[in-house]
Amino acid sequence: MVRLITHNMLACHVKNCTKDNFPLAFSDVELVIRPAPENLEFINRFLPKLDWKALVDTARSLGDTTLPETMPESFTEDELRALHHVLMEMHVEEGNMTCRGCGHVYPISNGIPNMLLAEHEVGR
Amino acid sequence: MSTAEAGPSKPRSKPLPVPVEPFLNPADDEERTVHSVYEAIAPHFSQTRHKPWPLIATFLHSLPPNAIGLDSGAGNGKYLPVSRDAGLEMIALDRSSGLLEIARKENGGECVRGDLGFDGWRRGVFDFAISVAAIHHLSTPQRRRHSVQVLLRPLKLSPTAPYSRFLIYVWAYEQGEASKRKMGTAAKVVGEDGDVVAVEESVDGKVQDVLVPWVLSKKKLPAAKSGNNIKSTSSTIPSVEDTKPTTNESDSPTPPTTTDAEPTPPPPQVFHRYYHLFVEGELRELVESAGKEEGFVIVQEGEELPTQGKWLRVRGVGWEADNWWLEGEVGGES
Repeated sequence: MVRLITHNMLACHVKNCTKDNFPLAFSDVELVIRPAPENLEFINRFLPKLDWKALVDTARSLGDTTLPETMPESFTEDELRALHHVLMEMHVEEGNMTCRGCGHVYPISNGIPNMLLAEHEVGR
Repeated sequence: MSTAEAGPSKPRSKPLPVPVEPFLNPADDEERTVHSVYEAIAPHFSQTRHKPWPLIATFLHSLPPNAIGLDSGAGNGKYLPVSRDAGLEMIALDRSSGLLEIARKENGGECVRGDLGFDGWRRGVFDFAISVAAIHHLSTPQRRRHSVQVLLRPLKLSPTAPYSRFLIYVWAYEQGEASKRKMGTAAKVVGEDGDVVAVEESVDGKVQDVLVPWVLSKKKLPAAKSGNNIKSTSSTIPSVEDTKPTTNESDSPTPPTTTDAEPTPPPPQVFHRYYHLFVEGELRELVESAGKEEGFVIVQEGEELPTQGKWLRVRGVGWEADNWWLEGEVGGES
């Protein structure tokens, strides 16, 4: 269950891939909506860490258009609820995440994204 | 699950851990002696890893509620429920897809497949990180240091408290009197949890790099993938020598019988996992050198926090039940 909050934190980590390595682009997605206990305190606390544009673009690519283009200065409770839904309740169960920079594909299977790279692709 | 009643088998003549020479190709050798072993023993291993260690639970409960963090090398995700109880969000990262499947099914959390070198987290997203009994599976000082560096990188840096905190737990070379793991002695000890943990003492000093056997009783669990039986030349593990692959092949001389016939239980399969046993002071040195490499100023106890740049401070180090733990925090840079 790759939630969009997790997707919002994941970048491509292929060696020397530093341009357009975030956000990863979803494709062939099987989307599942799972209600999650609403914790707006958590959402509030996470706000400063959020990459808003990446989240909005990704949500729209998955058919959810509830979030405004620009991040509100302050959130109404309804806006926080919409954000909770997008971040915590939208799960990508199957599909791919593709780096727009280097083209590396990270597959998602059974809700688990596979971020493993071959040893020569790792920037250790 | 049908395997839920299976427990560790009776201690018999179980093989002992064996010292191991430095790996020539760490990535391939860790694949062979760590990753493929965990895939093969995942269900059995997971049954023995239910109880959260109190020190980790205490740490998680000490964090501010609604914090978000990472469990790096999370295995079956046994700290996911603890983190929920503590009002935290935590993501489980592990290399083993078998263990992550269990984490997802039984402990219900967000799981990401990646190894301890995974460096794809955006900077500043996590308030805390834990890595419990994982880094000791990396076979070179460089790889262990890198794993700490990538654990520190996604931690949020704040110029004011609360700072981001992390906790690392590794197996210790120094073992207590009552230990199940008699590393560094010739004692042969069988752990309650299926671990057989004892090692012959080396003549030339401390043996910190060992292969620890895991005995997988075939009659109690469905067949695991074979292919990781390490043929050791050491006389300390005689019972391994006769272990045959137990998967049924078509060249079996036994004619087909009725399906409900009880077959003779095959000998238990023995897998070896690589461990680096940490000596006193080593974990702190590792964390501080990783911090320096990442550009952190290392702040000692009682010292003032620097007013610019980023800093790392060790909050505590200790030995508990044959493990070394270290708690640290990072901050700075507005």
